[in-house]
Amino acid sequence: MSEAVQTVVYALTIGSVYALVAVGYSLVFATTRIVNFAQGALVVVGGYLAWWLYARVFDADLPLVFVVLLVVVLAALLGLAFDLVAVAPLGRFDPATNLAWLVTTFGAAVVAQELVAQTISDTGQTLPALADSIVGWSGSVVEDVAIRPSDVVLVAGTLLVLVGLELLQNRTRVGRAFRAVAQDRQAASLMGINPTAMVVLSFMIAGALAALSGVLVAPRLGVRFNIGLNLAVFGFVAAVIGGLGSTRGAVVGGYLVGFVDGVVGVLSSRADVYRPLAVFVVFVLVLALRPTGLFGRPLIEKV
Amino acid sequence: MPARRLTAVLPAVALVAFLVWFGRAQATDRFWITLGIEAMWIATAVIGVNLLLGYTGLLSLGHYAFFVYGGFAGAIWAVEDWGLDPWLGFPVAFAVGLLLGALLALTCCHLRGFYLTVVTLAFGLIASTTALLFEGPFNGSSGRPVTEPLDTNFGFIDAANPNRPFVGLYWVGVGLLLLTLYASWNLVRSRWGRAYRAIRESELAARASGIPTYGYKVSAFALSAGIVAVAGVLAAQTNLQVTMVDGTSIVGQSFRYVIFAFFGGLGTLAGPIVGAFAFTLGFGVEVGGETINGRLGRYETLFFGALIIVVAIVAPRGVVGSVRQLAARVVQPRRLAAPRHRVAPLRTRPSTAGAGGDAETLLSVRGITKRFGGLCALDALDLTVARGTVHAVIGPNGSGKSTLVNAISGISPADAGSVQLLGREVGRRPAHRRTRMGVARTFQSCQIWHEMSVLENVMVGAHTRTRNGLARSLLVPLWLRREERRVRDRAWALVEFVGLSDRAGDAAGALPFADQRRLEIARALASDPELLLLDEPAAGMHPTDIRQLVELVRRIRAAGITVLLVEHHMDVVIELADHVTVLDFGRCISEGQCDEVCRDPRVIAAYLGDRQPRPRRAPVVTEAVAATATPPGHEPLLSVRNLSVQYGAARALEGIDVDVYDGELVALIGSNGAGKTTSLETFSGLSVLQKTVRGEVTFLGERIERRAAHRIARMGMAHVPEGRRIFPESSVEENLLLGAYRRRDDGVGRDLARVYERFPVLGDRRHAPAGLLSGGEQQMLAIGRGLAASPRFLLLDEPSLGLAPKLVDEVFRVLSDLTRDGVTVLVVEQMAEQALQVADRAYVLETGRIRVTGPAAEIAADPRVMSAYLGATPATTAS
Repeated sequence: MSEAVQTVVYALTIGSVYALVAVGYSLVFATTRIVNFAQGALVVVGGYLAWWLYARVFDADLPLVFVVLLVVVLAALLGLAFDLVAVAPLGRFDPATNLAWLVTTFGAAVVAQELVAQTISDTGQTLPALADSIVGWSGSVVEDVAIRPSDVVLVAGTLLVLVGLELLQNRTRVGRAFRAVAQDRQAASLMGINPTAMVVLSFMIAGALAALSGVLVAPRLGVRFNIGLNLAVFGFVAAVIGGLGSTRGAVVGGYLVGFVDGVVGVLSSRADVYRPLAVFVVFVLVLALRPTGLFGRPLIEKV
Repeated sequence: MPARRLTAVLPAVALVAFLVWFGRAQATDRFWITLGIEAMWIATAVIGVNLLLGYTGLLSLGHYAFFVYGGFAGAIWAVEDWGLDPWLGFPVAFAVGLLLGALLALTCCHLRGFYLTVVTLAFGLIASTTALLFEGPFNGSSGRPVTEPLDTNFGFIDAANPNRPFVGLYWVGVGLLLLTLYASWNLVRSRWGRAYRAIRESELAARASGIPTYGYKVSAFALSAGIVAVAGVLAAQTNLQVTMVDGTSIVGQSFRYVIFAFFGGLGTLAGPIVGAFAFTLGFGVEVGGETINGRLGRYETLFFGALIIVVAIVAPRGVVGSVRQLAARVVQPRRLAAPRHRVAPLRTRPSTAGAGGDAETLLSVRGITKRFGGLCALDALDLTVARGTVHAVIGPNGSGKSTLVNAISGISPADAGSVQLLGREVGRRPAHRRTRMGVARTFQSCQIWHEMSVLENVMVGAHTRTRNGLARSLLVPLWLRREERRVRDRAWALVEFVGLSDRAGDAAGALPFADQRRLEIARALASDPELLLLDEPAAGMHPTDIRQLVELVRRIRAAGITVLLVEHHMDVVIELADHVTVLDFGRCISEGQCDEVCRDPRVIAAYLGDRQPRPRRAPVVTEAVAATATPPGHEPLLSVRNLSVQYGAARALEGIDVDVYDGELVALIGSNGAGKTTSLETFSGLSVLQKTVRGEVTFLGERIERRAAHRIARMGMAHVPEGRRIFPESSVEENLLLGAYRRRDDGVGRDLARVYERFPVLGDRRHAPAGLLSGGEQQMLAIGRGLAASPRFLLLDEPSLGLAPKLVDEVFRVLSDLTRDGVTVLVVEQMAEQALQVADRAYVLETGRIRVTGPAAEIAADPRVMSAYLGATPATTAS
């Protein structure tokens, strides 16, 4: 029983992080049809930014919540910078044949991480949990499994953000326009929607989400450079399982990968070894049943 | 020696000279000679990656796993566990890489784009974890040492040199690199290499040319994995140790090879070597890892990141690709010399043309049906084509002509029904098998491979008539391959046959549009077909080009090849067709000789629409006003002056003048490819050709010909585009709200209600995703979306396309209502008769020019309109 609880707790926490990263991939893919391989780097940059502001700039005087808000805003601007530096200069191109985006997003990730390493810190750091105690509750133990406030904040914060994003997309004028651009960029421009603005928006939200996950994941994984590629890879797999371009799909894919991750972690002592294998099996199964992911739209070849 | 040979040989000589110089000059420098070995294995591996990504167009992010496995297999297992000679490690690693690559490729080569990439990425993770799990062969994360190194103490190396083993390995690396280069040099000039490049540029055209694309992708994948694995042996022999890295490092390293290939130039032979040498020997930078040279100090990684971004933006073709592009601009293109050995372009067949009713049946189509969602594109259609004839299939837009061609050629097989070629059931065979059986085709959208030369395009067409294997293509040099010469001679004859021999060596993408179409026909003929399917070969062509095309098709028929011709230009059909079938809504509505069919009232109705008298309103602008260029005190809402648009090599519009006055309903009519849609798209800023626009477009007194579409939309112009372009995942109501996106007034709700009133079915399904609506309902939604914008000026592109007759009437009723409400409308319509009934004025377009203009009533009576649609047979109009 305790294993079941442990699996659920772990799956929810790590799944939340995968989901945030996957949604970042998905939003950018929706508007640009490219995969922003810098997404994982943004998670790392977000974590270091938060640590730097919290521990160095404000000397732990400013409550972490405000620091996080500041980081989210800065990361959104960083997302904008990524678009301006790595994607916008490529102009209009067919991502399937012109692979320049592959190189520019990778290059941007290298530059961003290196700038952090050179100016902020090049060693692992720790960031205090966003919530060390929620009013009147400092954590509980269910079936021998510790449930910490930081876990609850991680999951609840993620869900809140994702629900907010879903509402933004489905209930607002901007969200409608965003989805229109994702479906048919040209037709959307005929409605008076500026597609470039939506591309910028997608990069900014993706940047903010990445930084947020960097902060939320810090109590569990720390602020380190080597988590970037790992999150980038698993987040990408999650986004593809869900169907690239679909926000809902990315969320479901994120928690699915998190769940597989958690189950393997409980069943095996060598989770690091079996985890990719299990994720791959799930991935192949999903693609065998639905070749464009769980929520992806079918690819129609126009002849 | 001809310049062509020189450009190929000179770089090779330079490379060998550099490698020899480096090996001799740096023999005593331990640091540089080790770096040299690394450059060799990286260059070899990047050649492998380039073969897959640059030539075949598949992105793998798991290839570094093959590198490590190759090292294990070639330097440790083969030697230690299987007791082989260390030198045999190279072929063993190649075989292991080939096998693993093939296994992986079999699971993912049916996937497209990123889905394939993710499988390779996951494979990289798994390959890593498997190695860490099976301690025995890999020894987990500590790795295994190479116990029996290669004996590289060659006689020519100075025995006193303390670096002797490394110098020896360097020369082994040089040999490996040159061997790989030699093999890939052979490969890209073989039918395999051409097939890979064809798949990369257009998989569709590759399938139609008889290439089994899945199998070829698997072969490219396996080969590429084998090459990378061999490179891994060299690395293992140098480091004397092989260790499996973690999964994410595999992805990172694989990415690094991709970057090197891109930097040097994807799809070029020299690119991988340039990229690999630049980063190892030149900058000494390892991506995101340790540095080797340390010349740039702590800024190396930053420098590297910034450099690749800049290169990707400035030179997306990489170093070699860009140099080649520049050179092509400076150096005059050379004419390819005709081969000494001349052959006939086409196999001569016994001609049965014009033999009347007893002619042999070549193609027999029975009850063929094809559905797209709710739309029935082919409805139990029967068709019989006699051998040696030109059989034309005509019909209005959306009547199922292209669907028929796709069903016969297997590009998009039918849901039901049978297709027989010379009595043999084609059945469910894939497209490439049908090509082998003798079905060749061209595409409406002209699918040629732009980056290949004209001659190479035709040589790919002969794919099904050649059989050189992969091993022969890799190992036997070009000049010893007899089949290659035969194919080249034959292709040359075909290029000559279609009149392109002057440009045989040029990149196909540089040809003018009409020549591209002729090239596509030559490519189809190269497969030696019995049946040639031509899908709108004359679309967008000029009259002189059309005459040449007609001549070409006559010569093809004379050679005994049967032609199924889908065509909109009736004059072409009249000149060529022995037999005509007319389609409408996926059914045959008339059949027979050309002149009979053109007189058939059903055909005229299908093309021009029904003539139902409607009350005509008084013209908004008097003829006198419309005739003068600048009427006093009456500025046009939209004014177009001398507008030209370039489509690739073709002129889509040539200096058109159009005026639309406030409150008018103007029709723009003309046959397919006349430039109607291009006109509307240029007005609304939608056109992807905006950069090529010459002339002026003025709307509400402002110049808009270079303005972005969304800014034009905000000025009050709404465009209901061709093909509906609704947002399928958004609900009906959301689609309408998007139509009203730019509006800030409070009348939106009222206008939506009016749309629902006008099209009640939309109101019933307002919360359903628009993609679930039927074709006709989607068309109504598209119009409704345009109306929701409450536009000052509404552009409509083929609003009646694919609609049942009752709905067509409804659409035209809406149009007259709109003008009564004061909306200005410009409508492009194929149903000319009906459009002219409701319009005030009309313009008739023909091949990018305004042919006739005037009041709609006059145009309706003008015989030239009829001829613009149905060719030069105006006498047949029934009025």
